[in-house]
Amino acid sequence: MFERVTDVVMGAVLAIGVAYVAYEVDRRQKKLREIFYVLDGEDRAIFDQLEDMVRTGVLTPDHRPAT
Amino acid sequence: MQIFSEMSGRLQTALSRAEKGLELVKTNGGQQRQAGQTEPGSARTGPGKDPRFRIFVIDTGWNSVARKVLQDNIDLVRDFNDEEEVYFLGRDKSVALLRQHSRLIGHDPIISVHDLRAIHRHRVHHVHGFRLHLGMLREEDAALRALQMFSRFLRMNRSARDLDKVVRENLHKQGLAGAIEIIGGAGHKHLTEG
Repeated sequence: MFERVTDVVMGAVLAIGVAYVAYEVDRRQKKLREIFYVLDGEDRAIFDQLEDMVRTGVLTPDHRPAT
Repeated sequence: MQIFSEMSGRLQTALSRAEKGLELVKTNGGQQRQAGQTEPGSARTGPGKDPRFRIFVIDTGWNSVARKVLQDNIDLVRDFNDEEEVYFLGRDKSVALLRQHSRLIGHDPIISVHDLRAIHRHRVHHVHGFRLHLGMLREEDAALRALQMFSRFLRMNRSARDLDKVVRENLHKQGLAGAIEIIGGAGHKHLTEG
């Protein structure tokens, strides 16, 4: 009886451990994807706007406006 | 007694040489910095260079740790990636831009990288590149490591065929590495904790 309870507790602890690791990997990858964000179709507008600023000469390379 | 006076004479000579050397280093360093500062508007990407990326620095001016880290280190990031074209939007243009893209407010300072040589997998050409949302990091150490990772990544992958794929693979690895650190009991804070 005692051994069975121990097995169940060990199994539960192991399952919680595995679930925590999976959750943590997922959480960290999500956070990293938010910080290092890969552009997609939704970003077309801001992408084009920035490129237009370069094309029209509004922005010039390495020119730092006063902050 | 004679030995002491000889040693003292040698020491004085060595000291004066060291002082001269130090002054020379200071003078040269100052001259280089001055030369760099006299032409802030000039393009560093000369005709011989072949830019792979266009880099935009968007910063509306939140008084944040990330902003301080960016300002302190942007020259170094620039030096490591001097083939690329870098554009600074300044406060007014950044505010104007983020007013139109309000979901990015508070994510700045943002460094947006446009891939000029992206391969297009689909008939409809999507945009290619990535953004570093530095403003999402609240701790100095995390912001600095993100900036270093960004700089290293650009340098290492400027000849990558498919940049988007490389970014995604890298993020996957970083996420796994962070979790392994936790399991291994590594005490230091990971990038995602910022």
